[in-house]
Amino acid sequence: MMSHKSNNSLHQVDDHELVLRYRRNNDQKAFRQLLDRHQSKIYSYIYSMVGNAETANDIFQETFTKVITKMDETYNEQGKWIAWVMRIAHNATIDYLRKKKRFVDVNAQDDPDYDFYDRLTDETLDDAQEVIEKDEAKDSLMKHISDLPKEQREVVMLRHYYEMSFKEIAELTNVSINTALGRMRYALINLRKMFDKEHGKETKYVERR
Amino acid sequence: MEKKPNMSNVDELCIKYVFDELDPSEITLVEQAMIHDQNLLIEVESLKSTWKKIRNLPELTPPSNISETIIDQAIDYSSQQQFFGNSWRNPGLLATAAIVLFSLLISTAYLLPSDTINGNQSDDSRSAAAVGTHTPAITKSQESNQDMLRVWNGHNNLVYIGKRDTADDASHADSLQGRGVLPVQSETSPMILSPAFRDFQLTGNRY
Repeated sequence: MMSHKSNNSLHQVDDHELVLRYRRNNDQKAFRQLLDRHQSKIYSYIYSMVGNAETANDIFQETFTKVITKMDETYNEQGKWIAWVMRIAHNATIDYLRKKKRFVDVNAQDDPDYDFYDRLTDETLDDAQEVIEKDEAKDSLMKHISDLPKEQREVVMLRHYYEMSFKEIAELTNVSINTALGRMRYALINLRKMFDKEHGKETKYVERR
Repeated sequence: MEKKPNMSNVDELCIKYVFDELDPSEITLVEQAMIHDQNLLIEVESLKSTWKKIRNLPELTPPSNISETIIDQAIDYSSQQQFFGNSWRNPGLLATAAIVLFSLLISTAYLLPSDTINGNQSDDSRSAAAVGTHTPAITKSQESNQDMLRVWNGHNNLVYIGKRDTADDASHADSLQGRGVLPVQSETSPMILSPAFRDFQLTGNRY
């Protein structure tokens, strides 16, 4: 009961305070709360970039190993903890992709038995219509996102999962804000073209120039 | 597939408008531009609707065993930190500890009897003497060599150290005595001396 109350009270605590409690008092509940709060976004980002569950698991674990062991040395308490963690996750992901030297299909061609949507925890998707919609969403969204160039996919995912500003995305990916904005624009244009092509429509995108 | 982003001001404003990163004056500017330019309006609406689809992307949770492993790792690391404390990270304390350790090592090396430090070397010296090789030294452990050394107190309080006279050198010794150079007893006592004490005796002034 006490523990439940304690966990409930931690929901109200911001990241900064949780990090302080973990670092100064070795408060494990604070760390668990931080992990619970952010793990889905971090994992989703990694997964969407590498497209393989096993690799995503490895990179996710590697990210948090660094978070745990490097927090005292490299995390500046003035900054956002999640931005710092995200930088580690991003760097680990990019390192992996560079090593692999090719982009991985998010539909998990390396792991044909693995389905991105099998991992969904949405319990409301239980009637047939919703299952069909789910499949459609799978075809029309994840596949197309996986077809985007890595740089464009990266900007889309960072914005979607972390709601990062373009300034933050630019800093994280070491490009100018203008480049980050341009990548997002081309990503959306490309996705729109893919959706239209899939539905047999002529592209409705209008070039202004 | 990726085109090199070549953003005009309108493109930049457009994408910032879609993502709500404009200040109110810029928002008004873009909205006025859309009234006059149908293509701009279509582009902005197209970007908005595509982004809306992306917003439906689900979040995935990592396998629970991975999360638990991470929690365990955090607990282990914290426990280690608690056990050792964070003090070892303090550079000042590290430097102090290094100085104390270094001082202890040096003191130990100077204060320990030379036999303890050079035990093997003594044996080696004896072996060397046995085969006729001369190794000059004046420690207790090498008493056989000590017999070969003698210290003279010469003119002007100068102290001379040299080989013990042998039968071949007898005439040379006689000449030295004739010149008033008197032999004195070796000041190296038979007691065991530490390296520090030995150095002090050799370099100090007797008188």
